Amino acid sequence: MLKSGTTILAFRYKDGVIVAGDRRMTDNHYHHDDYVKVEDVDNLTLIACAGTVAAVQLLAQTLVSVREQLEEKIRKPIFVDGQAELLKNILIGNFFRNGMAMYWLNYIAVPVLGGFDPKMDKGRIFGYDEAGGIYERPDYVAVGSGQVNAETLLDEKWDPKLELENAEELAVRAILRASRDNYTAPPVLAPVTVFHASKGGVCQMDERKALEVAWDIFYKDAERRGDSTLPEIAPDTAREAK
Amino acid sequence: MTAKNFTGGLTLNTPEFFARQQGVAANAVGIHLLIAAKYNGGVAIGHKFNKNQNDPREWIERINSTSLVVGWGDWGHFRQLCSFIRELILGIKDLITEEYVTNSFLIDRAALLLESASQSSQPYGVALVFIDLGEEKLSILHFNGKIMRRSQFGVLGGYDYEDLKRLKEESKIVLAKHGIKPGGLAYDPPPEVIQELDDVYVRSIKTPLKSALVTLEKIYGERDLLDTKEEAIGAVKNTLLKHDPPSKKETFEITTFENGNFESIYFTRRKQKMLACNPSRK
Repeated sequence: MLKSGTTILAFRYKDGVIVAGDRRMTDNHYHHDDYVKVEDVDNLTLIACAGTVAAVQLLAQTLVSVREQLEEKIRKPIFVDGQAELLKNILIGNFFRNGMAMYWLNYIAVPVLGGFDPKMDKGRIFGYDEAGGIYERPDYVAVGSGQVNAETLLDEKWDPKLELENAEELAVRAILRASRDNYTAPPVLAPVTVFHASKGGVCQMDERKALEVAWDIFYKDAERRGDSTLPEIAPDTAREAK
Repeated sequence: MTAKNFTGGLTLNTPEFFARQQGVAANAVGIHLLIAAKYNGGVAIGHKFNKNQNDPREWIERINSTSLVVGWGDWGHFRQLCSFIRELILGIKDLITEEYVTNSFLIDRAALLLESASQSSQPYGVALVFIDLGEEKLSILHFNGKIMRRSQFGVLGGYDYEDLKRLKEESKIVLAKHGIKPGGLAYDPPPEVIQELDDVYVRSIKTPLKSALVTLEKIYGERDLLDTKEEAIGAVKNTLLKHDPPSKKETFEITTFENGNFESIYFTRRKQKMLACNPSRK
């Protein structure tokens, strides 16, 4: 799988799925840490993509547009399983249309799709490659340059029975570990985008809370290392104290 | 206005030609009845059956475990429409999985095809009924692309026809009453004779569809579904026995569809007096 500069991940938890992504958008030697990579496709489905921004945006827009047109024709909502097939066909179409130019121009998007399937009453996640290969994962998937670090942590810590709060914390922790990679924004600087999809719909974790969780983990790591160079209180709390 | 014919040339599509083609299509659907009656958990479909011409359940095309499309009319046209519907199903299956094939989508596309063909004076000589056991209503698609939705039951065919034998016999009586020998007159008959002959003509018209609808509506009453399979089979059987026009072979097939499975039964009606009607009718 192509390693594109980012880290996005998805995993199942007790009531649905979590889809999370870092905020870094890299432009050669420069980066921006304010780019949101996780989107809600509908009220039960989420998509996150690694890759060239243009390709990523077009992929998400195409999926939404084609899904809406098809729902209009068949007069039935298309859930995550149907959207996964649709996304696969869109990627295959892109691959055959663009051919090797995709790689020369680096015009690539590698998505992760996660959502709550009301027919099976559980969360489902789908990983892809850039040519449209699809695989449904029963547990978790990560994509991007920080994939290895994120998946290593999920190998150790993931549990299908996680409650929402613990699942959100795990997502932040996984991105934090992945941020050893240069192309993944550290969650202590830019809050991780964490969405969950469950029977009740799609919801985003509060960004302030995501930052606090990240700082909490960061400080605990520092304590464990015996690092005394860090201030005793987090910068945000210090601002409040003044 | 022109219509493209099958050799690729052009045919002038006059109102008379259009009306004639509509008549040909209606003729293909015919005077015999196909009845689909819904019951709790399934549907019973009944029609005439000739083992020398028909295969069992040949008028039924299964879409999935709860949906069917049933046709009546020209066999070749029905197979063409079934191919078209199967292609639509494959298209959706490849794009977003088979689970998302809905009857509404198939009906809209089929109606468009039938209407377009009808408007071009090349109508398909077939009527369809789409049945989904999970939905309240069935959809009846006429040969001209018009869609009718109703709950309870659907009836195809049963177009009006003249009982020519009765017409001939009663006309003879009227002419004899007025002292006119049959075999042609050198002058127009008096107006009262014409009026009586018109009345005889009107009385000779049979309306199997209308009669079948009345019978089925009485059976169903206020209910949306019949209670049991046996009741549905009985309703279809009685309606066919009473109202299906006589034909050479008086055998009927009733197929039930329930829980994804088909079961067929066959029965015979005592031969009735043959009609001296148009031999092109079924």
